[in-house]
Amino acid sequence: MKRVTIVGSGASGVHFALSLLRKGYTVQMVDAGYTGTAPLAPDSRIPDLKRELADPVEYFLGEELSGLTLPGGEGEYYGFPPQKQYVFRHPDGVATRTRGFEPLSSFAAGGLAQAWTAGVFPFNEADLEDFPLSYDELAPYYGEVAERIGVSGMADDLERFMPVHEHMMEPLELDGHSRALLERYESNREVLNTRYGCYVGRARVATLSHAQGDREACGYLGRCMWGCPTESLYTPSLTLRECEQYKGFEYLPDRYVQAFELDEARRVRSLLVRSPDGGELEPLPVDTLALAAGTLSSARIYLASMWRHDGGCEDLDGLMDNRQVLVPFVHVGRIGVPYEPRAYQYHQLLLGLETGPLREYVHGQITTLTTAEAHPILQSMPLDLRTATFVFRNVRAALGLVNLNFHDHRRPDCRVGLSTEGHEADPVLEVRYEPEPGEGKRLKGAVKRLRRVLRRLGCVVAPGAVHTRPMGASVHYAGTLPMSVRPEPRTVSPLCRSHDFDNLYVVDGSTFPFLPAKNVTFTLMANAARVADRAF
Amino acid sequence: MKSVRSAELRAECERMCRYLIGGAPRSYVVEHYVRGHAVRPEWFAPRSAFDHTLEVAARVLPLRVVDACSRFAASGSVVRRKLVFLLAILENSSPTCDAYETPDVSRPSEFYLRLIPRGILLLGALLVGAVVLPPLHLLRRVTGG
Repeated sequence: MKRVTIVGSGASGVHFALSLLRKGYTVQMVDAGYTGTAPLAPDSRIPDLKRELADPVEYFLGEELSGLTLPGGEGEYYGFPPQKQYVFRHPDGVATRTRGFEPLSSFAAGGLAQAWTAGVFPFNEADLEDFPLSYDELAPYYGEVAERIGVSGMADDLERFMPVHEHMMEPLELDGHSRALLERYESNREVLNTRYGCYVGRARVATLSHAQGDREACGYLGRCMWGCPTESLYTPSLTLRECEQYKGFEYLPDRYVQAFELDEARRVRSLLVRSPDGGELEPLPVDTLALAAGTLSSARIYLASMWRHDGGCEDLDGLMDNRQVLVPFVHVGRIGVPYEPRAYQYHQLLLGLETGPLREYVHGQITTLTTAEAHPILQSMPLDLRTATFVFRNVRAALGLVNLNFHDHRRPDCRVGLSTEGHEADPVLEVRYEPEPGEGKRLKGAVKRLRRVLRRLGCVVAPGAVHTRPMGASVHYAGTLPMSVRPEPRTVSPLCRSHDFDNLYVVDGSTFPFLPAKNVTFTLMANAARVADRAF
Repeated sequence: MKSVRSAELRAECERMCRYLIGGAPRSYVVEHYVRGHAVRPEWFAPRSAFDHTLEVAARVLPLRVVDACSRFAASGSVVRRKLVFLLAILENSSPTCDAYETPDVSRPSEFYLRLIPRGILLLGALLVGAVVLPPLHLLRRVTGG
């Protein structure tokens, strides 16, 4: 049986690989493959770590202070903790020029989802309207992936935005704050549904509410952001580990893929790879190639390949990402309540705001503040730090954040190309993004409606605290090599086979022709499993 | 020279710690404070003339005045960056982490009551800063200090 070579070990790549391996294929995975370190004191909660570790400051802030957020810096409310810095490490010589976009990419084993917040949100029929496939074609793969990764959640009011699929285990325990918000929603449901188009329900997350295989159930240690020490919170490196148990799987880490080479029949002949630290490019022969490096890295490889072969390439247009707006709130009735360190750290509730057609709904993830670092919050309060400390310690259990996500669609002025300026021998990726006209009004309207919803839930939004994140911050990139029934250049078939090169598949977010407001990662995995099952 | 700088930082750490949590720091906290300045000197170097003025003011005025004024007039000033860095050390080490975890009021009404004097202090600090800092800044510019 032929060998399939996959570039990238992220959410798409590992599920594509696992499906092929289960069908008996030989799979080779090429990856830079940076890894992190094993978690310290895996049974301890965050407050215990501060008291028990020999050097807690180094654990939380890092040797190089990468976990420190200072005022006047370029970071947002939160940086990534030192334990997750490996996820964003880049090989030498990889540069990107940007305009209107602040991209993040990963070369870690497991990819960007090594640092995800585990939100699992299946697309519905409305979300798939621009896709050349229906929900029924994707549904079995949502179930299959849910069984692999472990998904907790339940059917509730959010079913209007997110279908219920197979293999969903019971939801995680709610902390007191989330429970209080949900109870308040239930007693105001009618008004919130009819007047504000707002629906609230339990989060669906790839975190185990009961043990599965050798993974433990969530221990509510509050360490999600630092890296779940019990592996209850799913990351793609777990599936990579599963793939490595197959005889037909060959993992090739320490390799940075620059481009693919074509033969005279315009079939992919080989990959050009080098060490992430630099060095000479070497060819790696391939039979069938699947790009699963993530939208931007796959675009980089595709464009560099065309540039090497033809001396140039048209830009890839249609780049999409979810605009995110962060809305912090205070739940007034919980002021003075002690905070619970025994809690799941990421979002436990979700809300959907219907603002027009169903596929344009606004998706909100409600995170109650549990074990997050205090100093990024204290410095942003309009107070001196001593007063801010008094306020924070007494409202900690009342603080929360709604992360609003907005849909995006393909537009010609959002594009990815290559720039040779100053890099004649080795062009760099150039990313340009133009927000849609009228976006500001759309965001403002949604935030205004959310403020009213929060008031109904007994919460207030602090003045001046709403923060619109830069494009690129959500890292839900998609759309540059979209699925299309018509065989147009720079598109792929409904089974993600390139219309340009017949032994090339693209199985990451590049192929999505529309980006709903919800996180795409679960659909990336399901679609990759679908392609492996249906096209091979 | 290095030991003089280290002694200055230790004294600065102690002073800031008394302001932030009302007590002296453990040696563990001081070591991290000094080490941080060595690891990331660029983060704690003054970037403007006003930054220099705030540094001088932090030595002669109550820290609450400089902190409050920095928050509104120069939130990225070096004094405030140092204060936030120290706060990050304190919140991540024991026993000072308690000050960021445990409430010291039991009802919302008690919270609002205790917030009033703090609000008055904040306004007072801003007022003092508004009166003292501009002439101090001007004086430093004129004298080249």
